[in-house]
Amino acid sequence: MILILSFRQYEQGTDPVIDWLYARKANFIRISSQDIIGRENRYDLNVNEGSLVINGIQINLDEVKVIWDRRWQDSGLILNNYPENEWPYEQLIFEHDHEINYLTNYLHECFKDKIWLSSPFHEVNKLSMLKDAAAAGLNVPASAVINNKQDLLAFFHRCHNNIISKPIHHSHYFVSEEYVYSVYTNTFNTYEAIESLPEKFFPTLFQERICGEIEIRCFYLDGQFYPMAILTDQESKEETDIKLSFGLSTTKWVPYQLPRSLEIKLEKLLRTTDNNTGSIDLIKTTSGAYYFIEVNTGGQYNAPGFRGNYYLEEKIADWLITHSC
Amino acid sequence: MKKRISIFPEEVLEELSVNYRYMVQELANKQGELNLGQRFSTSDIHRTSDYMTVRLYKPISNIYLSEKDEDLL
Repeated sequence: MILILSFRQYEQGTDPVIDWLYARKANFIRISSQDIIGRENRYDLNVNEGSLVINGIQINLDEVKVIWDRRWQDSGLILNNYPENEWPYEQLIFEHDHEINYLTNYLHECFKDKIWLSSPFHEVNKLSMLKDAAAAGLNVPASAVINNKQDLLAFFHRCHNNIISKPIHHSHYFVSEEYVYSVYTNTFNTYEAIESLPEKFFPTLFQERICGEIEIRCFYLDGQFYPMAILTDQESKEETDIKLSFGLSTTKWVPYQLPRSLEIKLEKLLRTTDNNTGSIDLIKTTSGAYYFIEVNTGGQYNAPGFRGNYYLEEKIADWLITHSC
Repeated sequence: MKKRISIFPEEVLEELSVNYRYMVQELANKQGELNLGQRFSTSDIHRTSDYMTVRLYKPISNIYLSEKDEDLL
């Protein structure tokens, strides 16, 4: 049996794979954290026998052969009608979040010996992944987490006065009615820009700016690479974060063939970090060198899938079926 | 280049990473990832409360860009 852990709400990567699982008549079940947390379902997790019953349907955990950890827990699932910064709800919400995390960790433990696609036991830390990538022979940008202007100026000088800043992990949208406000990669290429910062600030990730001829988004699935080159016009190249150019008519997505030598290094990186899938960001410079930027093991595959005609949802479904037999 | 702004006052920015000094304002309904204005169905067999039919593929040519190993630095 295939077990899919995913949101109950819209999750763009899950449903297309399920379409193929139905087409292939595969034996699978999808469970969301809402199934466990929400009150609309009746469920009983028998800790002694290792069985889970949801609405009277028993799932024998021993029958599960392969698990796709797509997206499990959504924030704000519980007690979201209460003011989270007021006594006593702040502590109440904290305690329930902790309970859910503890239960989630138990479920992961129950399945630790199964085959996973995107395992929660090997969550990628983007900073350590940069070091692992360099060890695998990949080019990586000079990177530093800095909290003060003096050291930032020294790093700026070392990087030939052209650096970027970006979140260490992630920043989501700040939605305010008709507008959203977002943190994108930002460039610092003048001393004045650095001098305008306060002497001390919260630790921030700074990197050498890699000026690219093309950026590449590549989905990886257990030894296979599905890369897309993103071609932009000169004006868009001046924008540090290519995501700001995605919607332009001048931005083109083209299927790409990575050099085999680069694939070997990327595969070494993913194997040594125990990851069998991921969405990899690469930059090819004007001088022809490839730089590894980051990998997201829970990343979306739809963009390279649809734009490159790769039918990745079918390939993921077939991978799950193959490993469930 | 898109204009950079911040939604936080300076006394708050001093406590934050520098990234929050350079935010980009965009129309919410232009952000595809937010799925605003999208119409969803439901599907019990997919066990999802928000189901959207997968868009059709547009057939295109095969690999367009490639590079030989010996061309690499």
